Amino acid sequence: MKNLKIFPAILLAVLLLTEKSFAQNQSQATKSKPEFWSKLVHNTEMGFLLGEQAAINNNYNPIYSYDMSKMASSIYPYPYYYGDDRYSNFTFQHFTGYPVHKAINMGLTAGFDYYRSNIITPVSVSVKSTLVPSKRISPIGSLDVGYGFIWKSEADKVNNIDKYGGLMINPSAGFRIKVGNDGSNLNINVGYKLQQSGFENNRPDEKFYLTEKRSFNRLSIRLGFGF
Amino acid sequence: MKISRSFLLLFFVSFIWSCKDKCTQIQTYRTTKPKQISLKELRGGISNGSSVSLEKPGKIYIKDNYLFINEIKKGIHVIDNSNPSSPKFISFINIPGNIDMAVVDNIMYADSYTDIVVIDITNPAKIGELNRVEKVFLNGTADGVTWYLDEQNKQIVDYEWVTRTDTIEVICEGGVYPQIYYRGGGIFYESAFADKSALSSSSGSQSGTSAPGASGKGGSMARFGIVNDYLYAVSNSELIPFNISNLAKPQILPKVNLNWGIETIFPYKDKLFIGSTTGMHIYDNKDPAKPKWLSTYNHFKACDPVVVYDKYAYVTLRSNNGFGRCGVVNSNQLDLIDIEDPEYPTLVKSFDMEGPAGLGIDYPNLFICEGDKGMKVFSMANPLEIDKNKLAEFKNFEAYDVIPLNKKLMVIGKDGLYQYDYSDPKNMKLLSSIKSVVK
Repeated sequence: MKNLKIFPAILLAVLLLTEKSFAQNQSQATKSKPEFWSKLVHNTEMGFLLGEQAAINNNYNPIYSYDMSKMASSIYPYPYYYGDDRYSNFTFQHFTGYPVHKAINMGLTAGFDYYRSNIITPVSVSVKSTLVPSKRISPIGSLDVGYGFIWKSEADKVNNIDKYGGLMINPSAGFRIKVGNDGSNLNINVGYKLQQSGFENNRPDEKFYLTEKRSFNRLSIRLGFGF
Repeated sequence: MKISRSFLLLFFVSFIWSCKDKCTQIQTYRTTKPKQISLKELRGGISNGSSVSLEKPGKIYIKDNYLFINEIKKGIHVIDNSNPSSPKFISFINIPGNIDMAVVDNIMYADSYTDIVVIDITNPAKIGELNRVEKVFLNGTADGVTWYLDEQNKQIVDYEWVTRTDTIEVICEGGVYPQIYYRGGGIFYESAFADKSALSSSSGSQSGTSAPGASGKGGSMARFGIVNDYLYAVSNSELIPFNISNLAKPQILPKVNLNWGIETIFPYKDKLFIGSTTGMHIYDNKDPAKPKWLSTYNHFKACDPVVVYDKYAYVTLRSNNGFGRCGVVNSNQLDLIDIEDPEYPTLVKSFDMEGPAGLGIDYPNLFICEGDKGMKVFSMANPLEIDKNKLAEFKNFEAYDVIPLNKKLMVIGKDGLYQYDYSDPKNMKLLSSIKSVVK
């Protein structure tokens, strides 16, 4: 999986290229529109992932424990976090899909999620549906399921932090408003985003092994432009 | 439409309630667990066991054809080393809390936590406890942990290393990765050194070059030393002399208080050289029952076994990345100290080393253990140019202490015991090795 970290970047590039070729095809004019390319739909969205830190419920805090049975447990834990424990992080994504039904588009989504100290690129298979395609305003729904790739920093390498990404699930619902006759539209959606990730920090010399499993559960709010 | 909208609203509200980041850490680490040993149990007597393999070897001691290897806090392996190419396990002496030993004739002195046990080893396969000096040590440090005598409850409180796995909840992206410090029995130890310190703080015994032929020879990490009719033992903070003119009945003599952090003792001629974490103490033992302080050579805090030859003392200082059991020091070096005038020891020269531990001298050869960096052999014919006269280097094992004797070199480390023939120090021959069995 480590070798796949370049994959999201490639996918994103492909998506943007298809967009470009689509635009070129459009400008090349009306005579012979290639069937497949002309039918592709796009949606670029950005917004926020809202969440908060779950309450921490440990039985003991090792460094302060004087319970004899645990006396020597002396791992220095994460420091307490005294700041605001509600987070709002920027998210950006682009969907390219094909209409498999007049109300349903299927395709791929890739983007960037900026968590507090990690950037994750989720790449997912997406289904987007417009409940009432004919109306100017229609409820919409979507489901993205994929894998989030985590970006590693130089500091991680220096500190022997081996980060990994994980499962991403993002159902959402909202409304779309047509803004032109060519099918372009504005849309807003609210959803739930689960992003798993984690890291390992193993120090065999010190006989210390650490695995952290992260589960970001966020409320996603996005504004998008479809074309 | 209204129904679907309210349905949507409900749908999201349910999500809002559960939108919380959850992070858990699974930490696996070494730590210590207290255990109590009652004095009754401790003094229940020692016994013979069968010896098959080294597990956690500590100090080594040689007496005639016998080689004694301490199994940290468990006892002593007795090995027939009459043929160094093929050493044979003879027996194992179960001595709870043992880390040090010294032998005169057929009498072995071994520590057992707070006591010193006198053992008749005439027949190592069938040993007997002759005597016991109680309450010699009040505490001791081995294997990275410090035990102490709890007189009120008539017990020894010791700690054993265990591997623990904890699953704890943490703040997601808390930003600081955990720093670990091991605490063994109330004393902080640098983690990387925790299990290695076993050897530096445990002991063998250096009976010293001035000792009569009847006693054996230990390594530089020894806490026991024998000079003629006297046995010297060092605890963390005291020098304890014993009169052993009656071998089976050692008489404890008034203790000499030293600073905390005493690690090794090296008797040489009529002096006792005591290595501590803060320096080297030189004691005059012209009156063996009352060693007299002559001087203290101070240096930055570091671990330091010391050996002496002629007018120089050779002290190794080991760095532990700025923080450690032996204190703050940022250099790994061998210090050459002029002790011609023992009241005014002076530093002559320092040589860079990689992580020196025990050392041994068989003039003109100087053997220096470099911990996990192996072992180096120098010629000390010209003590001022030791660094320019490296004869050999071994990197394939971890070495903590050495005993050079009669052209045979014994090297002990976490990996086990290695014996070399150094008749030609540039071309040393491996005679045999006893590898530790990792449990």
